[in-house]
Amino acid sequence: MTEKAGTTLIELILAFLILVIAILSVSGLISFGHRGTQKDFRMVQGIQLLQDTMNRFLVASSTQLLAAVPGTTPATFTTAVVGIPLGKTQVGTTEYSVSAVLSRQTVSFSTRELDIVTSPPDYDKNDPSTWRFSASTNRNGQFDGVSLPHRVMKIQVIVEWTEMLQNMKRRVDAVSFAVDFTP
Amino acid sequence: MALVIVLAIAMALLVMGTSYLNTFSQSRPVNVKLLERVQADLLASGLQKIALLKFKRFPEDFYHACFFQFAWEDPVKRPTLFAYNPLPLAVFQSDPVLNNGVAGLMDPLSVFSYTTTYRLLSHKAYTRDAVEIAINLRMTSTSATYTYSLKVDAERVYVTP
Repeated sequence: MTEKAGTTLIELILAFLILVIAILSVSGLISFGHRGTQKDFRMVQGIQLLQDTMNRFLVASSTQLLAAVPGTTPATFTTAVVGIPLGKTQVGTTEYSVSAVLSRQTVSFSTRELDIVTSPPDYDKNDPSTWRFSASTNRNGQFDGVSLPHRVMKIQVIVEWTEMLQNMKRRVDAVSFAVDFTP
Repeated sequence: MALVIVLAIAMALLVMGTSYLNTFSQSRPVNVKLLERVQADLLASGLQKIALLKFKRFPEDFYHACFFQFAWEDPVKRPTLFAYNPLPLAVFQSDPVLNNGVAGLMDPLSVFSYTTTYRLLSHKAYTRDAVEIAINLRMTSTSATYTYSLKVDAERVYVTP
């Protein structure tokens, strides 16, 4: 009589246990990756919202923007300003909070002016060798609300949302400038 | 035999899981770069407007500075010129607000450095000029320097007194 080699119950149980552990590990990895992908997706949505809001500010009337912030103190807006929607907005399943900080920005410019008075008598407007520039570089180019009115508005847009699983606040922001070119 | 088969399957699953995790971890930094790029784009757009404000405020100083610079770069004309230090064009484009020199201007963004340069591209035959305003901007988190160029078309009109 010959003995046939078979699979014992212990061997089967061990194999089953190993398979369960491997499948659980891989499903954990996939779940972690999926959560990460969703987190990235929310980040991309936040960046798109940030870009869209800032672009709206950049094409808005600079005169109206300057009028919205009369003083030199930065003003925070959480509701619509100059027709640009701000505040809470729902994108997919995530609620984003969009706000903006506007502040009048002082800028000063300096140049070296052509000085006709000290230029030689043979001054020729087409010949730079006869030109003399002023020693001073302090021209009237100070847009500070005193010498000249403010023309530049600093815009900071902030987009915030909460990651549900970790209950963690996330935030992206951008800065740009709007300039009033009206004569 | 069952153990060998299960171990092989488990190993294959783990290899697949690791490669998935690896792919995922490589795609994550892209978002950070994307945000930085958007921040740089918007910032440069604003800085170009400030630079344009300067040109609109002092167009005559810009043209004089540029024509003097053209002569300065010509080895024949250079000895006849008065040697300014710094040259008028260098003064024109050296404002702190155009060159990373104003504290807190970019807050809360993290900007490593930025510079602004003006160039005059003349079309003498048509009395037309293009003013090119270039911003070189480098954010702190990456070593990439972004260059943004804005060209403004202008017509030269001589007013005779």
